[in-house]
Amino acid sequence: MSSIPASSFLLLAIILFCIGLYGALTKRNTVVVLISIELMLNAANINLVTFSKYGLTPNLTGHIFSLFVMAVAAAEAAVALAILIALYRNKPTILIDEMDDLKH
Amino acid sequence: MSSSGIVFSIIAICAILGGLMMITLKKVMHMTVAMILTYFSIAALYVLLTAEFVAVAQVLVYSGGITILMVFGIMLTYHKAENRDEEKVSSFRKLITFLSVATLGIVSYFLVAPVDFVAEEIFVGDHTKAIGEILYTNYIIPFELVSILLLVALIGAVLLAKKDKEEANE
Amino acid sequence: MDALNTYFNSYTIVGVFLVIGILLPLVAWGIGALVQPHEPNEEKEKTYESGLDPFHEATVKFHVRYYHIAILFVIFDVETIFLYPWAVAYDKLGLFALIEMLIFVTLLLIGLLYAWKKKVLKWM
Repeated sequence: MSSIPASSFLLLAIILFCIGLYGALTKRNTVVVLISIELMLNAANINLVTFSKYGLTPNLTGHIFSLFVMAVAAAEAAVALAILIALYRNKPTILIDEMDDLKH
Repeated sequence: MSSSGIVFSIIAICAILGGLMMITLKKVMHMTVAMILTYFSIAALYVLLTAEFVAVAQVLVYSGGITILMVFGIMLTYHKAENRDEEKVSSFRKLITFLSVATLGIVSYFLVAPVDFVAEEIFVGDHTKAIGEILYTNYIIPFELVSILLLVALIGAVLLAKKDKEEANE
Repeated sequence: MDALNTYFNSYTIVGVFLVIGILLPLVAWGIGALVQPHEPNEEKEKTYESGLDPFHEATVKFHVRYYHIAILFVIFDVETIFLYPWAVAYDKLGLFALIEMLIFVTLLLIGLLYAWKKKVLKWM
């Protein structure tokens, strides 16, 4: 069953990371940018779990690190959306490039 | 192609399809729902990598928690602007971004392609127990830091989202 | 290798359930679309065919208390993820891990008390 080469998992992670990066760079909606960042974190998680099975010294550390990444991602999403809500109250916009009050 | 290869291909197609739908769909709510497909596909990928506990955590935290958070974030902000979202990003900028991201992808592909580690069965059986044993002996400090991070995130998020009501009451 | 085969075989049933779960509504909708007559008129196209006419828009701004509940849910969701392996491996870990887990739970309890104090839990 373990005939899948490691590089195919890594390739999938690259594709997902690139989709997330493209979304984070081109989208203007703050929530969509956040979702894209979550996708990039997920791609990194795939790498961690892949190298905990393949590699020179396979062990469970990759699983534990991916659990920590999930915890950080959940905390990040909660705080980021709370900041968005607090900003939205002062200035009714959800477009990320219009939130530049400190520049003017 | 072996049976596991076919299963992997189906999962990979589902994951990439979800990501592409997230990029191309027009409405924010649809994008959020499209991401659930990707999250579930990645959970299936973890099962294929014999990482059962991480797969369950993926479904619980991403498909359950973070998606719900995003949905409430969308509901709390008024998304009338989503239609003019696409117009103001110039296609030149999109093209440049696409080219740079594609270059990054191709370069990393050539880095990754020669990787041919052999899969070693690290652990079959009670994964959760093994994770628990390592987590609560070697990784105690990061674990306690996670608890502090969660506390700070909870208090910060409640405080940030709360503000207006108290001001309205005064 | 034998254990690995058992592992994947036990997930075959999950795959079968997934396929059935996807096919069931698709077949039901497909048969419904084939059998039903298609005669739309203005009354039928309404959201509530025999109810009130819909007014206002669906994209109204919701109250922030929904978001508070979502935050609490996500934070304690992540806590469950860390509690579970501890509970499974409890007999091998002993007192030190118990104290560590008590610190973990206490810290999150402080967060819950804060939210309680701020009247987040109250549904007014």
